[in-house]
Amino acid sequence: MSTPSSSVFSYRVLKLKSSDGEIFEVKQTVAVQSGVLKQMMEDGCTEGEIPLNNVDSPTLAKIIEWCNKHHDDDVEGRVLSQEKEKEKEKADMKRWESEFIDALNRDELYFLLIGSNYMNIKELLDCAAQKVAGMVKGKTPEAIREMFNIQSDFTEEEEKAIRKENQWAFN
Amino acid sequence: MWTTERSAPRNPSPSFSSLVVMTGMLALSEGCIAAVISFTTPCDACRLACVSTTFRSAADSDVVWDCSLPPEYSSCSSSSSSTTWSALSKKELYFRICHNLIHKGKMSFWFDLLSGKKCYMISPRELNIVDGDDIYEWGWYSIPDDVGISWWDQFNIPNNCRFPEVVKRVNMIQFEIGGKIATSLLSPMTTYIPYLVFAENAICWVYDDPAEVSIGLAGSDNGQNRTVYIHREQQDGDDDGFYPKMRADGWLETELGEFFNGDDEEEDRSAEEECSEKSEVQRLSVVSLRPEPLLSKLAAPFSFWLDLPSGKKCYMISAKELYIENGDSTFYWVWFTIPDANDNKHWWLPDYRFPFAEVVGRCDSTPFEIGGKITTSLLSEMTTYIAYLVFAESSVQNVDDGPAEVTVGFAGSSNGQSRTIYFRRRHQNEDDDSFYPKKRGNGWVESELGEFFNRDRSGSVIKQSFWFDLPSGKKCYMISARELYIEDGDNTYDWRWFTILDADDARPWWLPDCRFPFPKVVVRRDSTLFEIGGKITTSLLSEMTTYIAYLVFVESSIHNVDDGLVEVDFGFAGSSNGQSRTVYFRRRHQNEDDDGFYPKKRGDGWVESELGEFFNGGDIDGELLMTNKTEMTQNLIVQGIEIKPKKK
Repeated sequence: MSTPSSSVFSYRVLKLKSSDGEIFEVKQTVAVQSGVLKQMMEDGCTEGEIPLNNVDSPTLAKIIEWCNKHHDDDVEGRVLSQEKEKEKEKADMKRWESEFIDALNRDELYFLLIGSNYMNIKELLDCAAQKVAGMVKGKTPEAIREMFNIQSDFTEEEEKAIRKENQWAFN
Repeated sequence: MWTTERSAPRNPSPSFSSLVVMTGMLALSEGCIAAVISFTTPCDACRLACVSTTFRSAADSDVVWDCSLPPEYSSCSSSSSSTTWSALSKKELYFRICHNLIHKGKMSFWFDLLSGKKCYMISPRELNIVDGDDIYEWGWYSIPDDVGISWWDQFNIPNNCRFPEVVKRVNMIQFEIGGKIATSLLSPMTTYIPYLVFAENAICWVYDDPAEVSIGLAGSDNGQNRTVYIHREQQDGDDDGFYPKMRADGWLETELGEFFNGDDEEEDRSAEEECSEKSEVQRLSVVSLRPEPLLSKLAAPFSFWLDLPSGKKCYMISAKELYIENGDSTFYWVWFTIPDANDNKHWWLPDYRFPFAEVVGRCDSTPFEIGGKITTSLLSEMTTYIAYLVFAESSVQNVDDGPAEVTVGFAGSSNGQSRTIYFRRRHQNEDDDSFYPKKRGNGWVESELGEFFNRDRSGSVIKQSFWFDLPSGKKCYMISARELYIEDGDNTYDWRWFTILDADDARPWWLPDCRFPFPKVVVRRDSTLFEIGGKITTSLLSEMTTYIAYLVFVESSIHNVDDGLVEVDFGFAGSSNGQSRTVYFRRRHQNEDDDGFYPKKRGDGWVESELGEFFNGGDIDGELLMTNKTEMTQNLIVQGIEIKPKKK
């Protein structure tokens, strides 16, 4: 840590603090995939630890795993004529994504959804949302409430009205 | 650089609940929920809206409905100047475009979202059921909570129904059931399939009960006949259409045949499609067949939509309908059906939005020829169209440019245009000279083939504009000024015709937005007595409905003349017992009480004046005439006559 280059190196690393206090170090170039972190970098307020209050450490680890996988180190360095190879990589990536998402259990998925939304990582959010959408499809509101453990906060009249408004969907 | 130190893997839990409760943490934010809902169906979105307030606002958000709307609609409503569309939320827009109930619930109507084709479901009350009123043959139940259905009857019956009533077969004797629909209601140039939608309440012991079905035009005897099977047990894997299929809503559907509707809309209104089914269902322990409705679906050679905001017709021709050189040779071409192509093997295939069953892939690199054709009468008149080839490439080739010769022209004529375009994208530079392909929003690439001005007026002069009233679902019409009877209408001293486009160019300040696609409005230049009238066939109107006809107009200048007395006649052609009344054209004297005798300002800036009302009981088929005679109406601009149901 005493060479000049290492100071440059450390400058390029963000310290992310998960909700349960664990610190993760992430390269700046990787972190730009998060809209929130990118904005912070642009505003120049990434010194020290960045608290992510809505993301716990297992989820943050997952998110960083995703971002590292989706981070292309030397985009500029690559020669364009190797595009064929690139297309193959894209296919591999898609496969990796689906394996990544399928490997999660429901809780992990749930937190990943919240985390990716909180950190504003569009691709990951889409991927997780698509998976969750598959689970909620065709379910009744009651089943959804049970699934997400939420109480209906409608009044009785409101609920009746909204049911009526959307009656066709129950047919 | 960092370690993925995981605590012990969490146990997979049956629901999201356990951990959420444990940590007392984080409700899903609206953004998350909207992201999830946007990957579900419109039906799911509406159901999810009932979960909680957060879900509701997420489910109603534009993000969600954007995905369900055809791209033309979604892009338009945010950017277009047309206030009518942009004022609507995406959800409302979706329902205007694709969800409707009509005829007092006798029919349910919707546009197939992908193709834009019309679909109908006919309620059982509208079906022709032999001995349908005989309580020993059929039982009628209203949904959802008719006490007449015992608990075991309800077993196995979907608890949802589009219509308020269902009919149940109560005995085991052969029966006959049929339905009909006017072909004029259907989309032209479309293959429709009628389905019997039903449910059974008990396991049947007898398999394979055959049913004879026939389908054809009324009054013609060249219909098709087939035998289908009503019971589900025997259904095997191959989808040959002879066995019923379980629908997403829990009902079963059985194909009754198919029917190609090639009619032009103008003719053949009386032609009816008839489907009847004879079934022998003896020997069954319990028979409860619910011929709920007939449902039409389609197999589309074209996909059709209206461009917004211009309202012009657009088409996409399926790959199956194109002329493809050696298209059947597997050496040159591979056909994919879309669901197959959606697996990982064809990762390079973009999302498809169109209802075409198949796409075709080129597997040889020799030159090839591909072409398509469309009847100009299907296109909007007086419009410049551009044809695009919509394609994707599975790999990037090193071959540059890929020049292609393209020709656009009329069949049988030699003066088409030819040009050279390039298929490869890499060399595209900034100036948009349209010779290079462009990426579309949905992942496909489009390449301009040429442009073409459609002058054809034969097929598509717009005489009437048509829409469904919301929420009643009744049909409404506006008759173009060009179709009205106007005394001395061609006399340029009395009347002056504006085409809307002209009017847009140097728009007179007094001319409001024109919502309807009529090419012309007419302006009164003289102030002598004149007569103006219109007519409409009552069979076009919704039955059992009170309609009111309005003259839709504006005035270019304020007059000091009060009232502007107008004599209005309203009645059937050839009958003398019409109604007459006097209305007033000037707006100034309108007082609060809405007696219908003074004109009213509409939302779109035009003014409408009631001409009279009329109850369409469906029993009289005739032409409704509306005439009004007036004087002192210089500078009256007429857009047309609008016929819409009376609001209660």
